[in-house]
Parts: sequence; structure tokens; C-alpha cells
Amino acid sequence: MTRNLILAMACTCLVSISATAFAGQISWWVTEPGFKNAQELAAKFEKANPGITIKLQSNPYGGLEGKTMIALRSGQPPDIMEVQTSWVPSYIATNTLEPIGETIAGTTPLDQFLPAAISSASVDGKLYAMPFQAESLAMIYRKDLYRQAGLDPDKPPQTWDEMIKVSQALTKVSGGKAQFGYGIAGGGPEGEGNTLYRSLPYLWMAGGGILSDDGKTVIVNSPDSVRGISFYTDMYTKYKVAPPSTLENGGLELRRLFMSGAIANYQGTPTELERFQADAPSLEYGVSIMPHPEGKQTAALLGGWAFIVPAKRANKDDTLKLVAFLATTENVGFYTRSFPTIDAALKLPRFADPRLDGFKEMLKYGRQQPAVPGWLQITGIYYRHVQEILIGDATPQQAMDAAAKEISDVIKK
Amino acid sequence: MQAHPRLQAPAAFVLPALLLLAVFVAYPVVSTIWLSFTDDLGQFVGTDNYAAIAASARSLRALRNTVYFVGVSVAAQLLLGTVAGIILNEKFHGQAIARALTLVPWVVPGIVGAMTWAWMFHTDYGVINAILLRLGVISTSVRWLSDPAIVLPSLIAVNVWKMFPFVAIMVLAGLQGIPKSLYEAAQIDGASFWHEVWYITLPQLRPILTSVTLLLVIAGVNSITIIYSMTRGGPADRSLITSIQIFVEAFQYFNFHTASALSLLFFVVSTMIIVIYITVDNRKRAAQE
Repeated sequence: MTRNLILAMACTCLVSISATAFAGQISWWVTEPGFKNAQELAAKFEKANPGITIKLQSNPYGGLEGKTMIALRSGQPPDIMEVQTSWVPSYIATNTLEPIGETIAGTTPLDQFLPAAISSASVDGKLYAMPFQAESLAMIYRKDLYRQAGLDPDKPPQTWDEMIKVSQALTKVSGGKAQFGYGIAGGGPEGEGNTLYRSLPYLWMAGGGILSDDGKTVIVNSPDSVRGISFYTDMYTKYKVAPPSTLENGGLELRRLFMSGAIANYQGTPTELERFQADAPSLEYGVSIMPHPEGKQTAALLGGWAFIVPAKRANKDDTLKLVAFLATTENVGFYTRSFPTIDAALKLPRFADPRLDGFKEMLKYGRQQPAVPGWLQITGIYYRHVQEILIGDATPQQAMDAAAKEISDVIKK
Repeated sequence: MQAHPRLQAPAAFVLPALLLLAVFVAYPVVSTIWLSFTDDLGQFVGTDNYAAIAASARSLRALRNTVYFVGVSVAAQLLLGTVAGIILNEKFHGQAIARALTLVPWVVPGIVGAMTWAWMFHTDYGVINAILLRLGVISTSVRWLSDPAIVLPSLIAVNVWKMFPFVAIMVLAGLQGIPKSLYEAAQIDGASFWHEVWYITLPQLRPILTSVTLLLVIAGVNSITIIYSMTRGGPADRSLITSIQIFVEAFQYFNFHTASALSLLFFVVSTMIIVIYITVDNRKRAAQE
């Protein structure tokens, strides 16, 4: 702990050094994958606004959530920062963010943005972030393996019952190489977030969830929620159509298994398509919606990225100019690494690939995570108990009852 | 009063070092203690944070895992390291290469080694299962990192692999300091190889092994890298150790107050273990002399 505190202090020192602002200079934090495009945008902005320069800093994804929090609390943050939309509520809670809704609306009316992305970054009608990227997972499946199993590769499963049947038909464990129908996430280094994104939508589809909409009641052990989590975990514990490595698999591991043909279905992000292009260009795959209970709608957990602007900065006016510049349909469409939050930007040529249609469809059913303090701890508890089910030490009902008890304690705090 | 001017110069010399210590050691320690007795609003809450830890089943599991992980790791590291050190001290063909290769695990950055092991251990595409299946040693894939009964032994194996070269190199250094005359005298008395190891080598190595054990225990209780990068303490906390629990509380959940209380408890327990170890060792040594 002592060492960690020293680390935190050292970070704070670094932050304050790197973020010291000069008049006419905007310091802008971006993430590593966005750095090249940010450089291009910065050059354009500087050309249009002589006298203002932009100092870019590229940050790796790892630890960014905490780094941003420390920067905000240090009182010396950079002028504008790129963060995940789901982190924004906890940053709003520090009372250090500038409301930027009016600035954005000056460029693009807010009703043209994805409503879920806007609402999750708003408190009391004030918008504290500019969401530019939104994505949902979709079901990616191997057309060649479907054909081998005698299934129609153009008719992927739409309902839970179909999903179970198709996964069973695609599972072959005896003789030669083992093949499994549906690879679910249940562990690995990135397992916590990966499992949440892949399992929580099933709870929603069934009518359940982790918390009620107002964030005050724990519903993770309601009959609907238990039905949702059972559908997910049954793939491994009951139907055995998920591979033995399930408790070690996150998104990255699943992609490797999918490319090698060890699994025929898995839930992936739009960015996976670029990886297939690079690593396995001849892969024959399709993208479909996540299956839903008969007669109900599908659902997805919305992921995405946004820009935030700390309040009380000396060169705020310059920064707001940059926000207005970034909020154009064209720039949002250019900077996003998956899909843009502005509907009109989806018509740009870069989003025309028909294989993206499954993801675009899922985007319509995207829901935000509840904006409650301690959400990360709550999802940590949820994840741990999902693993208890997968290990086989608890039934879904027992595990979710135990999770509900722990989550209630967090909410009470 | 005469000593006064003579004291000033040394005091001035150590001042910069003391200042650094104050900023980077004393301040964090004091602030950790303070944090552990307060809440988010800065209010003094007495021992509430400690009570919350004591009541949590998670802390108990982490503590059990820590004791198991460190205990078995250190024992295996000492055994393997000492054997390796003794072998490397013998003259044989290719001795220099063997000595260099032994050091590789220790030199490889922890995170790189851990990630490589994680891939090798993977149930479905890992090379370890592939080899064992082909050789017919196992008939179904072993879940090295996700079977609750196997995950800690797997992580201990990686930890032993990582640290035994350190023991080996320390033992090797110690062996070269043992006078040859002791062995010659023993040989004249008709001692076998095992007699030499038991009655000369190990007693002569004792001071080195004592310090090495201490260093291994300290490294063991703090070994976040291997476990965190391979399993994050999972599945379902089956490989969670206390140092990771502290890290997660503080830097993922931002519960700095609980984390501070936990680290203080951790500090007290670790210190007690070390003090007991040193005391027992000193007593044994005194008894022998």
C-alpha cells in the first residue's frame, strides 16, 4: 500500500507537470489508438484557429480510468480528455466537470445524437460529456462450420431455444479436433468487463438486470434475472456447448478460438472485423443479433467513448472552441473507432460494409449501464458470482442471492 | 555544548536523505494510517473500516490463499534453488552456459513471463495440455488456471520458476565462500557426499539461506504481477491474495479507506511473521554455537 501511495503521488506529480496549461495552448489527452487521427484533427483545428495550439498526449487504455480520476482530483487536469462514456457518471460526481451541452448543440443538435449516450452523461438536464463513439456487441458466427453441421449459414439463431439447438448441433467433442457451439466469456485477464458485456444483456432481455432503473433496488436475484443468467451459464454447465477453457476466456481468447475453429459462435465488437481482416482474411463469417427469448426483444450493453472538459480552466474558451469543432458530423464520423454517436454520420462511406449491419442493428437496442456510484464494485461482485456458477459451486439462484446481498451492502454506503 | 558544532556537519549531510525518506516513506505511512480511521468525508470513524474487513469472507479467503501461496512457494524455491546452486557449483562440461540459462526466468520481466505462462496454461490452445494429451499423460484437458483446486498450484509453479534462480545464485555465491579445507578434513574422516552436504554445506549456507528466505517471503506476499496478470485473482477469488485485494479496493473501486486499513493489517501481520522468523533463527543459531 505504501508503495502504491507513492505511485499515486508520483502520478499526480507527473500529471500536474504535463497538464500545466499555457494561454493559447490546449492540452488534450487521447487514447493510443486514436492518436493518429487526433493529430490530423488538431492540425485542422490549429489552421482554422490561429493563435491556439494543441498539445496532444497519448494514453494507453490500461489504467486510464484511474489516471483520469487522479488528474481530475489533483486540480491540475488537462483541458480535454477522452474517456469511456460509462466512466463519466463517477467523474461528474467529483464536481469538477464543465457542462458542455450548449457548446455541442451549437454545432450539432443534441437530438441527433444517440439518446442513450446523451442521457448517461447528463445530470439534471446538463450534459457533461461529448460522446463520439458508441458500439454494441453482436453475435459473430462461422458460416463454414454452420454448413458442415447442416445448418443454413444465412439463418443464424434468433431466439434462445434456437441458439441452444444450433450450439448443440455445432458441438463435436469426440474424434479429432474438439469444436464447441457457443463460446461465452467467463474469465481471463479482461474477464470482468468482457463477461458483463456478454451476459448482462440476457438479464435485460428476460426482464431483469442488476439494479432497478432508478438504481435503488437490487434485482439481480429476481426470477427474470436468474432466467437470464441461467441461459448464459447453462451453455457451459448444462449443455456443455462452451469450451472447457470458458473460465479463462475473455474477448481476446474467444477471438483466437473462433479463428482457429474451436468455437462457432461468440459475441464480439465491431473492431474484431479489422482483426479478422489482418489475421485471417479468408475467414467466412457472418454477424447477427444476440438471440432473445421467444416473443421478446434483443438487448445490448452500450459501450463507447466521449470527451470531457474539466471546469475552471484558464483557457476554457479555447477548449470549448475545440469541442464545437469536434462535434461536427464529419469529425465524429472520422474520429470514432467503431460507430459514430451521430446518426447522420453512419451514412459515411466507411460504415457501408454490409457485415457491419448486425452491429448497426444491435446499436438500436443498446442500453447504458446504470449511473450509480460504486458500479464497478457492483459489477465486480456480479462477475465473481457468475464465476461461482461456472465453477459449479452454486446454482444460478444461490449465486445471485449471494450477489444481491453483497450488492445491497455497497448501495447502502 | 562542545559536541554541538561537530554534530552539525554530519546532520547536514544526512538531511537530504532524511527529507526524501520523509516525503516518500514517512508521509505515505502516516497518511495511510490516517485514511484507515476515516471515511470519504474525512470523518473519524474509529475502527469501522477494520470491522468491515474482519466481517468480510473475502478477506479471510485472501488471507488463506496468501499463506498457502507464500508458504509453498518459498519452500519450493528454497529446495529447488539450493539443489540448483549445488549442481551449478560442481565442475562439468557447459557449466557457464548452464549458469547463464538458469538465470533466464529471473531476468525476464515478470509481466512477460506471466503472460507467456498464461498462454501455455490455456485449457484449449495452451501448449502444456497439447503436449500432455499427445503423450497420453492426460485424456481430457486440464483447466490449469480455472479449476479451483489447481489454480493456486499452477501459479505457485510460475512463482517458483521465476524466483528459484535468485536462490540458486545466492547459494552459489555462498558455496564459493566455504573453505575447501573443511571438505578435505571431512573426507579424511571418511564422510560421504551426503554427510558433506548435511554437516558442512548446509550449516555454512545458513546465514545466506536465512536472508534469502526473508527476501522470498517479502517478495511472495507482494507478488501481484504474476497472479494479477494471469487470473486477476479468479476464478471467483480462488487465487486472490491480500496484496491484490488491496490493489483492487484502492485502484479499481477507489475505496481508499478500506484499502488503507487492509494494508495496515497486512503490514502488521507480515512484520510479525518476519520478527518471529528472525527470533527463532537467532535462537537456533545461539543454541548451536
